[in-house]
Amino acid sequence: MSHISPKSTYYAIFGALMALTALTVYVAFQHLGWLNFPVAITIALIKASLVVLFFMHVKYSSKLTKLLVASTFFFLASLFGLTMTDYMSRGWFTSPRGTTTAGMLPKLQAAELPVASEQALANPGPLFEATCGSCHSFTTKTAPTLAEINQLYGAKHDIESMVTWAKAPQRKRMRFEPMPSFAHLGDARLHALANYMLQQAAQTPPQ
Amino acid sequence: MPDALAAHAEAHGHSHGHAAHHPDLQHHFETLEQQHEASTLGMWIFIIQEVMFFGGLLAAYMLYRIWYPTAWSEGSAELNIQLGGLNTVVLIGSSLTMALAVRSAQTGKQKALIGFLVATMALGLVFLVVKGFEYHDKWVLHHVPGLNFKLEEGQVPQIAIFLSLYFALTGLHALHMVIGFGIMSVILWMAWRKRFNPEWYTPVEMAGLYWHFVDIVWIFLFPLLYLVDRAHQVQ
Amino acid sequence: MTTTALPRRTYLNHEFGIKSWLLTKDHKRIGLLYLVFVTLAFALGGLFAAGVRAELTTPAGDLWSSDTYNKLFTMHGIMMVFFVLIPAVPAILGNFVLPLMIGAKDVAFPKINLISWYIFVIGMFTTVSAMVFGGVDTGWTFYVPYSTQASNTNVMVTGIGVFITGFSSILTGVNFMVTIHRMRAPGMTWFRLPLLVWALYATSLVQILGTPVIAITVFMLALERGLGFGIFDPALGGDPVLFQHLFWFYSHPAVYIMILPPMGVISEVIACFSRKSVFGYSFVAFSSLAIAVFGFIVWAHHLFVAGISPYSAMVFSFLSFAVAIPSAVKTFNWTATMYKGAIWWKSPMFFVFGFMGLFLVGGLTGLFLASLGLDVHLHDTYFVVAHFHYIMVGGAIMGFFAGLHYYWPKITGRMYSDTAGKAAAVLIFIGFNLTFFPQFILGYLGMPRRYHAYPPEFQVFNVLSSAGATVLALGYLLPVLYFTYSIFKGEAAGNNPWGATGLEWTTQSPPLPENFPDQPVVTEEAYDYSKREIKVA
Repeated sequence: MSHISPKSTYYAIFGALMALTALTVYVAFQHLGWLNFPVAITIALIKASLVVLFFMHVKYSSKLTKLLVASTFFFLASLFGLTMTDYMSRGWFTSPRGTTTAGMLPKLQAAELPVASEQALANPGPLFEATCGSCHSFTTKTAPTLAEINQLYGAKHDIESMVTWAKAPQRKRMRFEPMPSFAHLGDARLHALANYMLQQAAQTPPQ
Repeated sequence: MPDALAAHAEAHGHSHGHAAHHPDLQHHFETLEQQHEASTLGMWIFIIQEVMFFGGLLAAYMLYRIWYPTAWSEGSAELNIQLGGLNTVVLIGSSLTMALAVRSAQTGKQKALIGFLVATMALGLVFLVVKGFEYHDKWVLHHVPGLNFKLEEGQVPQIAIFLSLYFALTGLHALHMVIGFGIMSVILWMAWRKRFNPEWYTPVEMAGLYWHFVDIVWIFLFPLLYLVDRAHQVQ
Repeated sequence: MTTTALPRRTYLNHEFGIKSWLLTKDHKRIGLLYLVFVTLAFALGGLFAAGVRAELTTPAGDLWSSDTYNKLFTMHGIMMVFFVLIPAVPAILGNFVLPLMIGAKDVAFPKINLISWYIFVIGMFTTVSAMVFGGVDTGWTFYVPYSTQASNTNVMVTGIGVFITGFSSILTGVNFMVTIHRMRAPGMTWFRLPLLVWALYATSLVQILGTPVIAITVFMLALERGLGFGIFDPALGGDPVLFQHLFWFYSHPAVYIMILPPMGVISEVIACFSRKSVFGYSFVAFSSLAIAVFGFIVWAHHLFVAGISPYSAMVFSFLSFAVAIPSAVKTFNWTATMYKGAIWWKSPMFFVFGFMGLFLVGGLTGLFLASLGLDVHLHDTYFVVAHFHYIMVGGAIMGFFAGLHYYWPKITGRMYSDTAGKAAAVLIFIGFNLTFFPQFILGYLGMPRRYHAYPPEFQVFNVLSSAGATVLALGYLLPVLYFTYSIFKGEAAGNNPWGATGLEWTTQSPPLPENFPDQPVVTEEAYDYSKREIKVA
């Protein structure tokens, strides 16, 4: 009914598979840079093809079987490929406002903002809510919470360090999106905000 | 149709006028060849479906490998390449014995069929035992995400994603092997009972297709998990 | 018309007893077994919908707590998607009619067909038990990280239930594909096949290639929730949007599983009740395949506002417009079929007309949503809810009912009251539009979906919608009554009460257990209404 392969065919294919396994391990330890991955996948594809064609007899199967096996790659490729169109192009072009919430803030120069009024500096609550609060609250998960900031800076009431950070944030915690610079707010506002944040943290009992 | 004939036909599953047929031909098929083609096609479609099943995990793997090359490099270094390589050899060997088992059925060699089936199962068992040792090592080293994971000094936290995918992929693969083992047991029992002959050995062939598929999955998993960035670890 | 008697030996009466049903390998009996459970699922899903609509009659969230409301819409979605829409036409009508249509004695793998049914029942039992013992509130879409980290409802058990049920769909797809490839009667070439067979073939492709991906996605969800693996966890740098990609890779093609078979049914019914061959047969056949293939490459239109790259979104938006083309081809061809045909106004045709109007609206509003700029405003509003209900209920369920009314005489050997059938069709059409058309307006005005309370200015439309839901429920109740009545008191249908073409109408109603007394040989083209005189026997 079906094609009967001679034993020698099976032994030969087995030998080839062993050789290819050894080859893939050997190549893995060679410095090929970005080529290591495609080479490994190619060898794996060759091995898989040998198993499919000879051990699974697809070489001697109907055209329909061959068509079906080949078409699987098409669908797998669309899963991988189209998903990657999203991930590969995420950073391509950032509009002037950026795509993250923080990045949507207009990139103003310090001189473009009016001088802060005494009243505004004495009562920085609304500015805090509008500018910092969405990332730095007590419960947010996108940035260090007010409690954490208090832990870092509250003991020594280190306003200066906070202002320095806000003007040129580094990135110490990889799990958060990078913090954008708020230098454009100007020193006066930044001091007021830093004070306000430590105050808020001190007033609120630990959660 | 007279009632007696109808009763006879119903009892034996033949309708009036049907000639006697091969005992392994199911009555909704016309010929053994049609039945065999249907079985083969069905099994292949099932295997294609299984490929898509693993495909989802591989899509996740692909994304995170691109995002976190360091985690992938560190994670792969934590895997035992000797045991992984051994398992690759063992599993490919079991594919060989399986192909030879099918051939034995095709040529009517009953004892060889049983021998090769046992060999296939034995090699499969070796694979699972080795995997068990690997998993145990991972547990001891606190490399199991969610359950006892501890990030080591100098390692990036995303190594937990690599390890999650490692366990998901190899665990799912091992589950398929266990199922395959079960299928083989049934085939072995049927072979023992001399159910197969050169005219009808379809279950052996179908079990073989399944087993080879499980082998192919490992052929990809081995380089994807064990051989990431090995060149940079050999200074 | 001569009075016909019921045939002496049928698939229904040749064996009796519960074992003969629970251990049957007969595709016709298996189709009926599915009918029972799908109907139960429809009733349960409808009950959950009633809970939702009752709450939404008033702006305040005063009937249920918000948690309970979340559970209600979640469980409504899960029941309807997985246990009604996916199996309805393929597992019930497809199982029954496919082997008859191609001249085969049964499907390729009858035992696996039965196992598919058991898997379906076990999956349904598992999922419903999760609902009964506490419910699930993540939305039928199970988005992470809520489903993995925050929800304290029965996500795991529901996930397991869905996972199990998926295999029923896969195995049915495998069975149908092999059946269509290898079990056609002599002379039944591909281009003589009824279009329902093409539709079932395309559906099987989608079931086979898509369902495993949701299986693995639910598996990953379970690993993350149950064992704490981190695959989607943002704290580790995982991407929750990846879950959405993988989820919708299946769930979008799933909607084509839901709509392709009913479209096939529509082709059958339109040809018969216009007394005309389907216009552009090969276009309709290939459009089924095109929908199946294209359906796999549009999924990220569900992720337009989830944070994917705008470039990727543009690609998917373009592809989503493209996938509408084959559906439009079908709609034009159906209309052309009816043009200059002799329309015979019977119940199935009423449901067809309902389908045509409602599917048109649903399809066109899908184009609104495929448009990136519009979707930013319409995503997660009632516009989306209205769109998919027009397709799912107005399209798929109407198509299913058309098929049920068309094939009922073949399945049971009995005729039902045609007047009652027409009344049900009209009631369902009116109730449906009253329920869902206001939702387009609500969505456009900005009412979000999945909210149990809303601003008072939306109340009028919500009340209309809830009122419509009551009418719709009544409409769905009617068939239960007149179909049940017909089983006991219906007049015998005879082989071919509709005078239709097709091998299934050449045999007795109900059919023999083995379908055909002798192997049929096909010599005519499909839908050969013009060439010979159709005997209404």
